[in-house]
Amino acid sequence: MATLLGIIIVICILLVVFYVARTVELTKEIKGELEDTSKSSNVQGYLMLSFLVFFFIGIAWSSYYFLPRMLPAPASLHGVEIQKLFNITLLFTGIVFIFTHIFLFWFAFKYREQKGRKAYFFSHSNMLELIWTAIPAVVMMILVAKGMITWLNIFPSTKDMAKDKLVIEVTAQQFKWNLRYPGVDGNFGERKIDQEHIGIASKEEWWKNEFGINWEDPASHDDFFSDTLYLVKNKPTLCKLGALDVLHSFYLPHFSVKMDCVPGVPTTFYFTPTQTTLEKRQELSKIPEWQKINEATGSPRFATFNYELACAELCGKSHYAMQKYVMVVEQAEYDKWVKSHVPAYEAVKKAKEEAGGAKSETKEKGAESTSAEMKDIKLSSGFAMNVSSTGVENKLVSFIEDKTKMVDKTTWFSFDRLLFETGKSTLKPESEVQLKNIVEIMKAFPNVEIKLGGYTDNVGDVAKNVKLSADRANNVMAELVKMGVAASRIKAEGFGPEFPVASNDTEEGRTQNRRIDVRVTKK
Amino acid sequence: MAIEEARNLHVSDDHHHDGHDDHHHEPETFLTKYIFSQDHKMIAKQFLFTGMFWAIVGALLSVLFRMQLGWPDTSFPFLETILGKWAEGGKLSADFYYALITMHGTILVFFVLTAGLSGTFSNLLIPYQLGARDMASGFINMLSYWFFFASGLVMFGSLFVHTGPASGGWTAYPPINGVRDLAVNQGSGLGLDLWILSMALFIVSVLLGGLNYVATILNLRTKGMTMWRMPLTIWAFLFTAVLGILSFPALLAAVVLMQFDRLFGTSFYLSDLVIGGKLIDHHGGSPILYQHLFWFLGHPEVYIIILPAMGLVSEVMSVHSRKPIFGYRAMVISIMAITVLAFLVWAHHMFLSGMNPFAGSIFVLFTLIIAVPSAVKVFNWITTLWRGNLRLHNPAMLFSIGFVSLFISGGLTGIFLGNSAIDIPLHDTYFVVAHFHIVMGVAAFFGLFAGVYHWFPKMFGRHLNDTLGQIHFYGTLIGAYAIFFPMHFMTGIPRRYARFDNFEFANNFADLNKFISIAAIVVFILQLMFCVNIIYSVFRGRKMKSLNPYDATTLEWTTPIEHFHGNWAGEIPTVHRWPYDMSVNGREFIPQDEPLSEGEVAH
Repeated sequence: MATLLGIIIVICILLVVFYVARTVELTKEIKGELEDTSKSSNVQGYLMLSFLVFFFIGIAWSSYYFLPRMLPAPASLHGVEIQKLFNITLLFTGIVFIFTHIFLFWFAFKYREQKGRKAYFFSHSNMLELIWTAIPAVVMMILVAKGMITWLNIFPSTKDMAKDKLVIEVTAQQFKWNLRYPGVDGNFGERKIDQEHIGIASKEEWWKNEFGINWEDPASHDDFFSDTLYLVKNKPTLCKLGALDVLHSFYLPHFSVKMDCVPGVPTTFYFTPTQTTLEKRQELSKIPEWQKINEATGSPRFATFNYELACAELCGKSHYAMQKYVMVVEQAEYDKWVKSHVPAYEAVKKAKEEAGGAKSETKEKGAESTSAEMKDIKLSSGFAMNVSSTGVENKLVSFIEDKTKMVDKTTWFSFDRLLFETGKSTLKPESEVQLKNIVEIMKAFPNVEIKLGGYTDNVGDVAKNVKLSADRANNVMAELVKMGVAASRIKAEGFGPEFPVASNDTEEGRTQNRRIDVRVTKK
Repeated sequence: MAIEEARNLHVSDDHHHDGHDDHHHEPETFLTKYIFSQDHKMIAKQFLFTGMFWAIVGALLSVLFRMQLGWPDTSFPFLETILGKWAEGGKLSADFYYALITMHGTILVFFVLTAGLSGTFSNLLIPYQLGARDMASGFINMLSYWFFFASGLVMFGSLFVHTGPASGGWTAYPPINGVRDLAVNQGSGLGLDLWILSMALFIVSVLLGGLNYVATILNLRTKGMTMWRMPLTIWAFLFTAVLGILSFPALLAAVVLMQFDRLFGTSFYLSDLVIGGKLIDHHGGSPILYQHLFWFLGHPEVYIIILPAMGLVSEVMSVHSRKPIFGYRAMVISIMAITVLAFLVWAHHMFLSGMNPFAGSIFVLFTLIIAVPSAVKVFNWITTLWRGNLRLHNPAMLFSIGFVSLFISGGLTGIFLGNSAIDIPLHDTYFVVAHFHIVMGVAAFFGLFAGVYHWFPKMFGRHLNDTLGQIHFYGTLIGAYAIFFPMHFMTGIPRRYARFDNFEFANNFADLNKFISIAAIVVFILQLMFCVNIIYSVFRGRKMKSLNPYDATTLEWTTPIEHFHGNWAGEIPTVHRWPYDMSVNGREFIPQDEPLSEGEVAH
């Protein structure tokens, strides 16, 4: 309704303008001003001059207003060089901008049509044209020379790079960044891009992964993945960039770093960060714009400042949410951080042992993906849990924290450590650990609401199965409520044999189908 | 053969010196006069109105996504009414947001500023200003329009496809567009198939049109119309057509190869793709190859857009300054230089694409050299104003001056972006959005507006309302600067983000985004007013009383007000002088077809 009203008002205004303009035109025709246009041109001349003044004031004001709101000064060696080049260019172009605009609008005003004025026939002047070809040419050559030097310094050949550098492998995919560090040995395990190495890990193909990391390469055994991009102050860093699915662009706005990640074409960016995160916060704390209180956190803006990693190449619908934090720290702190990481291989090793050693053609059918790593999840409440990366806790937390993931009706996660008495809805005591974790997650994310679904295999009477599954789901819900979650935040429903996740033809499959799932309904 | 035909038309003049009716060579029906017309003037009008339609559609899309950017958390229930599942709960879905920006880019770049601008004025002015009865081939000219029309139909249809129109950017980079997988990108299904088909049809249209323009300019100049006596408009159209003919085939190759990848399992652009955890079966291609092919068109394309605007502005500015354009030959040489350089700079769009950095540095050199001919043109325009007698009351003149301002503002930021090192922080950010919208978006539109206001009487025999035109000018100039100038301060903020609140560094401009969105909506409404002015004036505008209302020198103003196929009732005019004899020899102006007076030396 409001929209309709708005449209009607706009149309009315347009109609008024239109009729006024028509009347003005008719009056002119009657007064004979169409023959003598100098009066109208005179008005336009003054308007042109006013525009110039208004335009310059607007530029001055917006510069004053917006400059402090722009990105802070670059925190990398080459970023400072780029800034210098930017400033030189700004100086040249600024002069040209101001003078050409003054001439353009001043002439428009000064030579506006007047009765009796004769235009001056001035068709060309070789001298003038030579001057204003030569000057821009010289200026451009200066900018090209400076630009080329800066550019080629940013991309040194491999032999000119520092020996002691930090190398990080960045692999982008829809819609996240995977950051692999080489571990203590400083070498990455090799990646093989072939059907043998790339795939989803399963019990029999435990070695497979999306990146094609070859676990038989010992160098891979201490590599680890990180959720935050850690960099070391004043340490040259080489980011090896790649992408799995589409083009992405590795963008560190605070460091003037940007480079496409291209599937099939390796790219790199070599740079040196110069300020730790803490130093940057300190620097910003002196700027009034950054002293303002951030309403979301209640503290000054500089206090929560973080470097960030973004994607700058259109990569699909959640392009705008590919975010990671970047931490720049001193070497000592970095070393400590490296040691705190469990290599990705640890989880693979476990899967390998379960599968009975080397890559084998075990024909055993069954449960998917046990090649999970154990992972520490720390909630904002301070509660920490050590759980499998394929477990329900990790999936749930990742889903809630990942801003790109929307709440929908199809994203269900299966509990992996809930056990019931056979044929009954009573929970076994072993289930308590996982339930406790869920309760903590619910407390840490107070906005989150969930729905529990109960499921059975297809053996037996359907109605009975539906009832059993509903009872089980309701029991889990009751248990969670008992442990402190508001009942209004949980719903439960039994689906019986509907929505199987595995084949009901095998015992393993049936085991998998007898389960409780959870879906986030609000976050 | 077509040229032959047109030649015969000329020859026939020699036999019918008295001929007042020899232009009616065949009876005209509604269908042949208004729909399948082969008359360049009618085809120009068809391009104009089709271009107008597309401009409204394209701008409307931008209003929609500006609403998302300005008010990301507000729900607009009417959006759900008109867009259905693409705006559930009154908020644009991310998928549709990207479809909107993709279609906005495609429509404005190709349908409005290529076909709408060059199509309208090349068709209108080439035969008129050269003293030709029509294009070299009227039939091919008609085909050019109808291929454009068909291309538009397909593109318009794609807006209504169940999975949405193409949404991987107007540049259609693979692999996001190269894999026909809805899980990768919704718009890369049927939407993109139609996009590719539409582009193919469009390229046919551009090539047919372009070949015709070149053939006409080279062969059908009237007696005395040497190349150096052509108005700058014609020079601009000539080189625009040359650019189009040489570069559009590269785009056709690029998208056809991509369609092979998508449908037939080839791997021109695809390699090592892991989708949904599985390695897919395409090996050995390179996504960067596509970018080379695309920008081999893409960069000349921006000159295809801006050169006609430059030509129109030069002509309009000269006429309404009552002075010759300053440095005619320098202007022509600048156009030539820009045309040649246009083919040597494409990779400055790809500094950070993974291309060899050394290659990048070479492209810096050529890119910045383009600033030189551009600067010469700017200085010459400003000098043209100097000591003139400027008829500022005419909106065409206002828009020409506005064009120069915009071309300076947008051109100068190109010097930043063209320098590869500075491009690192600026690439794919709002600085780029500001740059190209000002220099090839708004500036090209100003050239288009200048052309429409100036030649409207020639097209329709009536004048546009000047007062509305003046309001249109100031509103658009101020509005366009209000939209795009502040974007320079959003340096570092990635473009193509549907919302900014996932990042601390990007989330600092919410108020500015609202301001820009309001300005965009106001400017959009102003353009609707311009369209109303056009449609009203076609039927009810002030009638054109004299043949030559602006005291211009060029040949189009020697044709009768009433249109008929063949342009001149009697003989075609003979040219004796260059087109810029204004305020010379004590005369206000001397038409091109007036013989030299005794003792006068041709310019």
